[in-house]
Amino acid sequence: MQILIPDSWLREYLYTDAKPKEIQKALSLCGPSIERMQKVGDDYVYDIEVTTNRVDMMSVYGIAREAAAILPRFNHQAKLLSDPFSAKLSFETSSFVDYLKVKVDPSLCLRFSAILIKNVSVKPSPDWITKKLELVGMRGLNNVVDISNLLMHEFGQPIHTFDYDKIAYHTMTLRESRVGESLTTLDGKTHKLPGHDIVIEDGSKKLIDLCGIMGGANSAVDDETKNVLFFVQTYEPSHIRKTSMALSHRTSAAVLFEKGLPIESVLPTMEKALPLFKELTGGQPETTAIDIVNEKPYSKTLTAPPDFINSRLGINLTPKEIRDILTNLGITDKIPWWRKNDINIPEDFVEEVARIYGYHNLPARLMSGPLPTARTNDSEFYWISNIKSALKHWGFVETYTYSLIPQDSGLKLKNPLSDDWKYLRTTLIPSLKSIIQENLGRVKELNLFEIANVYLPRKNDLPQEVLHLAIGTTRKDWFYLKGVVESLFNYELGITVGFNENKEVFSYENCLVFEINLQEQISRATSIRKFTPISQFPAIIEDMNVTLSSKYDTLISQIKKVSPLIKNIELIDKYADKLTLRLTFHSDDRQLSSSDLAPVREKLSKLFAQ
Amino acid sequence: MREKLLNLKNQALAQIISAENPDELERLRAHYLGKKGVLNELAKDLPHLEPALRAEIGQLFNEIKTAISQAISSTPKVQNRTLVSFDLTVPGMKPPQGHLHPVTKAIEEISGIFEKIGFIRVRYPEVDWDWYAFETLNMPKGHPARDDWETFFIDAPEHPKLGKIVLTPHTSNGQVREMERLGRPPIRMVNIAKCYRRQSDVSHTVMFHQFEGLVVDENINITHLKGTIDYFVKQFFGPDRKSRLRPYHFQFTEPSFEVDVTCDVCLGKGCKLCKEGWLELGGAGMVHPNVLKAGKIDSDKYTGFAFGWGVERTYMMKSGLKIPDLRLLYSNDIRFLNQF
Repeated sequence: MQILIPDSWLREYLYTDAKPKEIQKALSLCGPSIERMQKVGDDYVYDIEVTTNRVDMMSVYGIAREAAAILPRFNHQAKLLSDPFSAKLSFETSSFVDYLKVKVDPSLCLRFSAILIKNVSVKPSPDWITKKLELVGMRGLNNVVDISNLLMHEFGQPIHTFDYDKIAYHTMTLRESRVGESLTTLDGKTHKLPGHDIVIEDGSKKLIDLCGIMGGANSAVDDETKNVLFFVQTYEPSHIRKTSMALSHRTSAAVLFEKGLPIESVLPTMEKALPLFKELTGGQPETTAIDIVNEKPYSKTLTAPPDFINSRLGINLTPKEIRDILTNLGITDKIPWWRKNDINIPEDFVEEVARIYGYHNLPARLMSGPLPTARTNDSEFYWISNIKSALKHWGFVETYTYSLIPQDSGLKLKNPLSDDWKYLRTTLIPSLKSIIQENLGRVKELNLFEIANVYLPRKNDLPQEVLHLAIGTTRKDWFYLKGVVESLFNYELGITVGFNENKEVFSYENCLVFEINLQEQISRATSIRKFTPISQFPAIIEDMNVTLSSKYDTLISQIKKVSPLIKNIELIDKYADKLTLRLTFHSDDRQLSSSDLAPVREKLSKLFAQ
Repeated sequence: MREKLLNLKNQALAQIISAENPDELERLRAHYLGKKGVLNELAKDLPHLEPALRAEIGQLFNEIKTAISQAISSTPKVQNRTLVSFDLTVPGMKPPQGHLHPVTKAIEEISGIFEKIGFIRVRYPEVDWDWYAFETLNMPKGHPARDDWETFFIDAPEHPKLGKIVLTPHTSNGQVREMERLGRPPIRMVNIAKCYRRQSDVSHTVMFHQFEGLVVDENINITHLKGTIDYFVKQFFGPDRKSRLRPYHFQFTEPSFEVDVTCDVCLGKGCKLCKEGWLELGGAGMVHPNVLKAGKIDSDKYTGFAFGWGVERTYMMKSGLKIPDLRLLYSNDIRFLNQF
């Protein structure tokens, strides 16, 4: 959540000798982050990020309270000038008043409070209010609405104002909505309600308020309004959140209510409003406010021994240092009401002490202690890295493509962001092909590869995530691609893999693509090589021209069978079915002579003549 | 005669080695090997030798002739000099040059740094149960904190206990899974995986990578988190970059921090590209006791810390590598990939 706080407004509640820049630095290090600070005239406006657990800081007073605890740690003087939340109330409260008949579902509204202000004159606000509102990005509308906005910003408590005379029979029933009921909010939008929203119905059964989000148009204050019902509530947060999300109606009030506001801030906000109403609208409040409380008064004690806090901090603070830090935040063993949402366990004390002490003041150490057990398939990363490096050095470019593709037999997303990203892929080929298509013409030749998981669906289970390797080349030469694959697996992984058309390798108009389950290959990979003693006797190497009449591998195995002296056969050249083979003849125990080779040559020429 | 020949050879070779230009080399060739050269002159004496000596000297004569002519043609100076027009500023012939994707480079570098201080690299599902992605991370259903992750769901029936199948919006699903794998501390993992969020703009891609660190053991405290982050920042970004922790809030850590690194452009002084000299790296914190409990680890005895940061984001912040649109990383334009 973001909130804008003018420096001048902050100083209405905070005395400090710290300059705006110093406030920005101190708060960012120890409290809410002040991301930016803007100079407006001779004032500054802080743009503050408040985390969702600290709705108590979503107000001028909340930030002042936090600053008063933090600034002294930076050697600045700082103290709160007043506490509006402990002010004595100038009005009575009762659960029954004669001016408003009320029925409230206690599970929806934790505190229902309202007071009637009679004889208001609705008109534009004086400059000091509109200027204040402008600094925080709000536009002045009229004195009644402006007072509500001003106080919401000052105390973090949303307020609504009804035109009292538009509430039929001055009767309100606060209940859950029924599916399909509809309501027009004061911004003119008509909402068909999803059901279970908190609403108020008046004596004529019409809905007049979408509680916690926005009031109804039919009961809104306008220029003719004479009597105002000043309305301050605490709602059950999850209802507000659901409705606001379902209707995509994210008002400032909803954002605050859904975080869970304390019932304790309701009456002080009202107390602050009444003199403003008298001054700006001439209105006269009733002496008694209606106040229905459906929550027990808050009282929680929580303790943590200093040892516990120190063990988490990693330093040794004295009990007094710890107590001082917490007391400055208003925390004793009794948790203050404005922190009831976020201080629940001893670790929460650790955070308070640590941040106010200053994370920047803590030392940095590396941990000692034993190391954990590695995974059994820990070498996976080693092999992947080797494969990537080999392909890179052979001129291949690595790609990373989205695992989400427009069409696949794999798992489908329930909430895709676009038609291009609808399915989890079960193969890398379509992505590789489309990159090749896009890059054609940009370079002479494309040689690409990708290593990524594919996601294979399984019934009633998570998909199986399998690491695949895909290699694609626009050089439409099977021998080139096969050579790369063979070198990769034979030399880098010490294994052989299949290279079958339409199984591992596919031919397309512009490219050849190879894809394989890499995980399976890696599980067989080995860096152990068999040592063959190097013969002391020189080899005899001869090139032979052969016309291929069978499959190449058949021919090779036939040649190998001819003599154990044939140690190696290499394909040197190939043109149509004419091959040049380089044969290495070799013996481990003697120097070969012509007479050794004569019978071998004879057998070979017979074989080749077939 | 024999001695005379050997001396001649030594003299010739010495002259060839010290020849300074092609003309001189050509002159030496003519002098020794030419029609009227020294060797040919000597050859005239051969027939006058005794037959036994003749064969021996004849062989030597040939050897010397070959040696001299080889020396002239094969000395590298000669080759250079014969290519008089060779321009050394012309680029050489390069072996084929492939490229690794920047994300791979970043991942290898990041995991290398953590492995040095005893972190085990692991891999956990990228498509996982709600249970691991949210529920065990102290984010019960309907919790507003779940909004921070714009999550993709799979169109499949829910598991009665583990819930929906989600595309993991962070690598934190590895936390409880690693606790389950090891059974009990020590835990020191770095989980690097693909993550997915329903967001696509200049600074977000629907798919990205995160690295998640998790340390759980006896007596782990905030100073260890600080030490680990400092170590990483210095190793990865360089010794002149600093890190800091700011208070933040995450459901699965308490306390929680936001980690900043000094800006690579202004080095912390403050400039247009950063927030008062700092860039946000990502979140971190001390593991929430509820997360330890979900991983069946005694939260009274053990404590821990965790952090999870974007690989792409961290890499971008490294070296003034200014990529205006993060989506370029996944565009796979060859003209982009060839730059790395």
